[in-house]
Amino acid sequence: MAVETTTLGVVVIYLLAILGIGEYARRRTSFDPEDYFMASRSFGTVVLLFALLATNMSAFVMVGIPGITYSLGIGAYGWGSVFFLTFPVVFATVGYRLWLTGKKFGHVTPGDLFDHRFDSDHLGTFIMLLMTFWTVPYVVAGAQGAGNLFQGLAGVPYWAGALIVVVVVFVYVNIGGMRGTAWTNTFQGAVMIVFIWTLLVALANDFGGFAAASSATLEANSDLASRPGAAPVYGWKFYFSWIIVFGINTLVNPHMFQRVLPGFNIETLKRVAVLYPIGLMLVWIPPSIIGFWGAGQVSDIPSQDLILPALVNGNFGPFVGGLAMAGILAALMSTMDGQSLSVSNLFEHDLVDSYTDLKPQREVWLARIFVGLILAAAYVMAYLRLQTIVGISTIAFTGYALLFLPLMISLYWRRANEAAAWAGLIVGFIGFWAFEIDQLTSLPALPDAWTFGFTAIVPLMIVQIVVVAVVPYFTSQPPAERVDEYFELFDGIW
Amino acid sequence: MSQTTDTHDGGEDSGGTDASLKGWDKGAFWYPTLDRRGALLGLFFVLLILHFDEIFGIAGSTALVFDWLPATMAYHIGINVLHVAFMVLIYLNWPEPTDKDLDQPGVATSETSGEISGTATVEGE
Repeated sequence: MAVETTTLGVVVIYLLAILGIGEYARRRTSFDPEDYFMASRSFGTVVLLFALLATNMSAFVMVGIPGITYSLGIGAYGWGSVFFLTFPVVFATVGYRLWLTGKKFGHVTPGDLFDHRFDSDHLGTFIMLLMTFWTVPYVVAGAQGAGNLFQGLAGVPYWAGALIVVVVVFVYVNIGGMRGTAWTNTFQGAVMIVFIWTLLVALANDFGGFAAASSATLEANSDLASRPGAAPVYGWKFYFSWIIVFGINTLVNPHMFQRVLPGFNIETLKRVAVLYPIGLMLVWIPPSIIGFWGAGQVSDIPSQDLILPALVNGNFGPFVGGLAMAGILAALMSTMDGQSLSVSNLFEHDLVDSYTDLKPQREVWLARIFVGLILAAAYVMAYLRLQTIVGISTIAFTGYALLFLPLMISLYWRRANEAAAWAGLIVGFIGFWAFEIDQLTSLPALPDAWTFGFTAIVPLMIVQIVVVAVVPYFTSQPPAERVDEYFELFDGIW
Repeated sequence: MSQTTDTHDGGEDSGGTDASLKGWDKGAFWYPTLDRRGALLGLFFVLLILHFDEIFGIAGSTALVFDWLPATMAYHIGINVLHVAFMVLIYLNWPEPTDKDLDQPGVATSETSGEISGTATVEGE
């Protein structure tokens, strides 16, 4: 496919707009770490909502979901939509306690919480390393999605498209910090929602109407309208496993965790909890249907991740293609920026600041370099294309989910101690790779039979629960004064 | 990075009792009770169970609602609307913290907050 200059032109204008917002944010951002990483804790409802939504709505939703409804069926919507309940509830309960600790104790990172709660010297650094580790594949998904888009819609080679987006994200994250990413997230969230619903209606019009579009898919493969769908994936054990992963992984994404910590007021928190499932519906419904319809229109694409670009290319001209790219890039980049900024904050706060005596402004500079390293690593992995977007995202989700239990016990169980947190984190990480090591190496993994038909999260969490429950009774108790401080804070809180 | 302090020994009285270290927080949303909070928790689990659309025989359906929307998806969108309604109930029953000073932007109020490296007491805007 030749380079499509009109499409590229629209995308360039969009990217320049993003950089412009980042530059505007830079002029209002100091390079004190508190302001650079936390925007001085100054978000209102709309900015916070869009920051959460846009950071959460990634290549997984905008490229991955159409891909799996195209290949496996509309059951993917049901699979994911339980998230519209579980995450807001976790946000309103566990997230509320997190918010309180941020207000009371000034926590900036997850490491602050763990170190302070458990009176630890190094647990926070370990958390930082794990969160960074699991964030890299999530950033990879964004870079991969971008590469697919540039290739499918603009005729730009995959490697160049992924590189362009990685560089743009690097630039505006570095110049604008948290304020820059929050404002671009607000802009990108609005763009994303308007775009995806417009695309849904436009495609329906092109396919002869909503009914005709769905009928075409049923003619091609009626199984796609049902669950389990075209392949026996969406059984009840799979659903159950993902209730767990979707429910608990999101809050432990470092970029989500850190957006709960800033100092907005309770009313903002409450409103966001109610509005969030509405926002999720607005974002998930169109791509799910678009992929489903794609099965009735396109039968031969090299990767399921290319279905949305294929539909746009096959039905619209280059200008609309450019708008489509801008809308989808909005989703990808809003997640990549939040992830990379957050892990750079963790790096600065839980590693550099903890173990060196550098001036804060120097620390911010090191963090900026770290952003570059994370994005570079993600680009290399995206270039290799080891997994589909959904595949690599689910690795990240499962890894994050295995960080949740130590967080939960820190906030809900007085007896929980540092040893339990360490044990839970280590068991989760080692256990994950015990099941998945054969995906990256020639080493044998644990048998699939050990999951009893569920995904690995179920047996791993059972083991985690046993470990964190037992370890405190054989190890030192946490300092009572510190425990009292936390649970007095939670008095009357659910 | 916070300094390690002497840990509390369960058999001694050092400012906190052994009892204070026991047990799951019974005031938590996730702890079953028979009051309104417990009803919300129960309703949450009912909504989770409804997620399994095979209960109503929807899962295998290839029918289209309004001639275009797959019945399975229509069902889950309906459940999502219930999710929104549930979050409204959460909003209406949201517990307020006892320390009202916390509901101020950007202010850390704990004396121990300064122990966290790099974050002395934060100035609010």
